[in-house]
Amino acid sequence: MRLHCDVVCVPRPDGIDPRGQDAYGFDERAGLVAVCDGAGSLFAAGDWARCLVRRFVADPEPLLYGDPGPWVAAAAADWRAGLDLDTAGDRVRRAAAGGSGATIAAIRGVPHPDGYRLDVAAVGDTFVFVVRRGLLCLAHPPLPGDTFPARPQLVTTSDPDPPARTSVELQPGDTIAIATDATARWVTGRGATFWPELATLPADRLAHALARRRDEGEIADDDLTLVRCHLR
Amino acid sequence: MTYSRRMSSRHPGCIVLLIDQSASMAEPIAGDAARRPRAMALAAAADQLLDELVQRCLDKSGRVMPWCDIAAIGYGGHGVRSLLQRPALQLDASADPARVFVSTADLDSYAETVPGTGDPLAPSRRWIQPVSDGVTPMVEAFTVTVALVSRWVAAHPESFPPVVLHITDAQFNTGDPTPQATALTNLRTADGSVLLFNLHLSGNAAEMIEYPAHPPQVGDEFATWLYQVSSPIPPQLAETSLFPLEKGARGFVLNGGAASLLRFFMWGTPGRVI
Repeated sequence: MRLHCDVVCVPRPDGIDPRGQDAYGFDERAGLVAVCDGAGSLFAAGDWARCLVRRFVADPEPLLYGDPGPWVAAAAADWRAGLDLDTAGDRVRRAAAGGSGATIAAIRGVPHPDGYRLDVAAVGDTFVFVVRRGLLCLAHPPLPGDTFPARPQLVTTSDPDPPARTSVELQPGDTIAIATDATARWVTGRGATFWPELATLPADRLAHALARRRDEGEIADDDLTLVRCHLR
Repeated sequence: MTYSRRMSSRHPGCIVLLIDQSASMAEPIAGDAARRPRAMALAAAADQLLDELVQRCLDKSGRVMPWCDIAAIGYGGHGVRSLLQRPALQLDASADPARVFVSTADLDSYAETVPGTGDPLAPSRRWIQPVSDGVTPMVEAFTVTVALVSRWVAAHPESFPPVVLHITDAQFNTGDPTPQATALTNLRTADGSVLLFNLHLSGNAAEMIEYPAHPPQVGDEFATWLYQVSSPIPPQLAETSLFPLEKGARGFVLNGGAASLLRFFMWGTPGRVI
């Protein structure tokens, strides 16, 4: 058994970066997936989100099991190296000194003789959902209820909040969905009947539905990212 | 879902600083060890806000995005003026928004450079000159603001609604601006009504009241008036507050000093939606 992934990614059309400030990455053979949401009000947050995703796919263990401090420091060095600070003006140098931040949710699928385990680490309000036979059987971090946090915890370039970790045993046919906040808020607000749809709807139709609802104001004006993984 | 539109090139935001520059602004501000005049503390805080707005609109190449239109309107013995231009631009109700509002993308070109402090990361730009002179023509200032904001709203019907941050230390003395203040908060975009937040500056150690949900019981009609014309803080902004807000809290501070002034500016600016 292994994870098979597809992606729904709908960046804001008017954002600072046409790629958006969300980032995702996966390595299906290694069972690794990460989704990050760069904090919109912070400098070069999309770049920071992409640095974190790349770092996780290359070196997942510190975030999942160890001390994430040096891991974050290495990602921050990557981020600064991409800013070309030698030729930058005072505003960019000041902004870079202030750093950046992002939320992250990351998973690793671990096959073992008795089955398949999913190890999960998350900081902030990017969520991992596990859907089994059409029912939600895990949301990590735990869902905050009606109101998502206005100031979620972040992995910053200087001082990471500690990751919330958990593990769950998967079964064949399970679907794992990893979603940034605006998508997660919409998905969880649709009620229990939506989980089977979330697991089975083709990615292009899901992307179209998300974009349309954002245009209509039903979903927050934000980048929308969802990575789905099917275990089979 | 109101008050949720994020500022962008297509849907820029709008922030108006409405600044009392009457004679009493020469008196010292409360809570400032250097006992700076209120006008000076206010100019410094406004400069900090403008600098921060530009920083928030910066991409990694150093380009500043045109995500927000800014106006700084001063009123005092000199009448009503737009403070970003040099020399300050005299305003009346026929003022052209295109000459008054400055995009975040252009804001730095309106700034003076401040001599270096030795810290390469310290802000080094100044936009607002401290002025304290004459009467308090608040009604005229609100009239101009309504005219400018109504034209801005007509041109940006889908944007996050304008936020007007009004700072004063005195009673109005050229008429009652209630109709104008009401007209201002009745303006709206598809994303919500214009937000009018008021801060009353103080020079004494009277009790400060921040963001109350009920009229202040201080026996001061002007304080009650300022409270009544202040907008309720929308839940979407209240949830970003760094301190707890009572349900129904309004964007109003009474007897604010130097620290509350800066907090008022930074908090009243919808940074979350940028």
